[in-house]
Amino acid sequence: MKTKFLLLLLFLNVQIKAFKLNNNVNLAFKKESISVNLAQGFCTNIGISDDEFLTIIEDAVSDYWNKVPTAKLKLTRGSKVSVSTNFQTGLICNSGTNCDPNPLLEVDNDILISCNNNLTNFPSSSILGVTVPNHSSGSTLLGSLIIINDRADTQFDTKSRDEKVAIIAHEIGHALGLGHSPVRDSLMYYSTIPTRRSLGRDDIDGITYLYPKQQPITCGTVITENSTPQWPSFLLGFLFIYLVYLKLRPRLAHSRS
Amino acid sequence: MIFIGLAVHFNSYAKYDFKLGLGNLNEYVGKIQTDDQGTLNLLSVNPVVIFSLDYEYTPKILFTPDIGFTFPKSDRDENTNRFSFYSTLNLKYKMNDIYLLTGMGLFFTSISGAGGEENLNNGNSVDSFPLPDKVVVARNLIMNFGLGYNINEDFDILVHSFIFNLESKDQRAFSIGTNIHFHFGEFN
Repeated sequence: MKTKFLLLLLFLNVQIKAFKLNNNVNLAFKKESISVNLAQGFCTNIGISDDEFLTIIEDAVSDYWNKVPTAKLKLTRGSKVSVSTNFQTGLICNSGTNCDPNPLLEVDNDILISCNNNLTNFPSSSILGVTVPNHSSGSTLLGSLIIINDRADTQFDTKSRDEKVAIIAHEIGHALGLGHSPVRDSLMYYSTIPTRRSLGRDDIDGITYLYPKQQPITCGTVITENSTPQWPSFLLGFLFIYLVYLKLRPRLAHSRS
Repeated sequence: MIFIGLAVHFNSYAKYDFKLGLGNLNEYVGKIQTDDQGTLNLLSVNPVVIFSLDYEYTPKILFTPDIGFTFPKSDRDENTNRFSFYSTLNLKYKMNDIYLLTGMGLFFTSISGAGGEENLNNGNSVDSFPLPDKVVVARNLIMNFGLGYNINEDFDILVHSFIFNLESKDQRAFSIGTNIHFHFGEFN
C-alpha cells in the first residue's frame, strides 16, 4: 500500500474535533528518544537567532510532548546542523495535497527544523509552518522535516515567545505522526491560540496511541540504547512496600501474640 | 511471584471481605488544558467501578488487592474511544474508623478508533485526515496512596492518588480517586 502523506499547514486563524493521524499507515518512530535539530544559519526574517530558536525547541519538547504520562517518548533538544541550502529554498513536496516528498529534503533521522522562504511552500504569510514526515520504511518513521515560514513578510515574528513555543510544539506533533484535532483546547488544533499552556486531552490520546508506554517492561521488543529504563520505578515500588512491611512487622508480631 | 508468596503467607491467617466500589477518577490533575482560555483540569467526571478484597492479616493490617475500570467513552471526539482499567495491590493500616492505604499496581489506558477519515481544516483548505484504526493499550506502573474512613460495617469511603512515573519530573502525574465501597463481608 502506498503511504499517503498529508502536507500539514499551520494556519493563523479560523475554525476546527479527536486526534487524527497525518498518514494512512500509522507511521511512528520506533525508538523512544528523538532529537529535534535545527538547520543552521537559514533564519533571517523570523526575528530570532539560531541559539534562541534552540531554546524555543527545548521548551516546546519539555513543556508539551515530554509531559505525557502514558507515552514512552523522550524528545530532546538537538543541535545546529549544517545542511544543503535546498532546505532553505526548496519545495518540500513535489506535488499537491497528498505530498510526494522532495527527496532532496529527506531527513536522515529524527526531526529537523529549517527556516524556508519558498513561496510555493508558503503562499501566504499567515501559514507559519509546514511539516512532512519525509523518510520512512514501512510503518517506521525515520525522519521528519519541519519548515518555518521565513518569507520577508512572515507573521511568525509577530508572535510572542510562548506562541512560538506552541507553534513549534504543534509542528513537532505533526513530525511525530499526528494530524489535526478538531477541538480548540488541543495543541494540534489547526490554528494558534494565544492562551496555549499545555496539551489537551486529544493530544495526550493521540501521542499515547502512537507511542504507548509499556511499563514496567516492554514485552517482545529489544531495548535499544536510547530506551529509557523502566525498571527503577518497578523496583522502587516493591522496595517501598517491603519497607512499609518491615516497619510494621514488630507491631504485627505484637498484635498477633 | 512476590505478591503470590505474600498472599499465600497471609492466607493462613486471613479473614477477608469482598467489596464493590463506585467512584470518580480525576486523571492527570493539572496537566491537561480544558479550554481555549488556558484553563487546566482540576476536576473531571470519570466514573469508575472497583472490585476489591480485604485480607485481614491482623485486626489493624490488611492486604487489599483491587481492580477498577472506567466506562469507555469517546471524550473529545465520537470517532475515538478511551477506556482505562487498573489493578493495584495495597497494604491498609486501620486506626479506629480511619485507615491509610498504600500500594502499587498497573494502570492500562486503551485508545481505539474504527478507522476512516475525517475532513478538517488544514492551512487555508480542508483535507481528509486518517482516523485511528486499531486498539492500543498503554501500561503504566503506578503507586497508590490513600486515606479512608469506615462509615459503618457496610460502607467506607476512600480518597486516594495514583502516582504515575514517580522517577520522572516531566512525566510525573497524579490521578485523584474518590470511592465509596460496599462491604459484602466474608464468604465461603
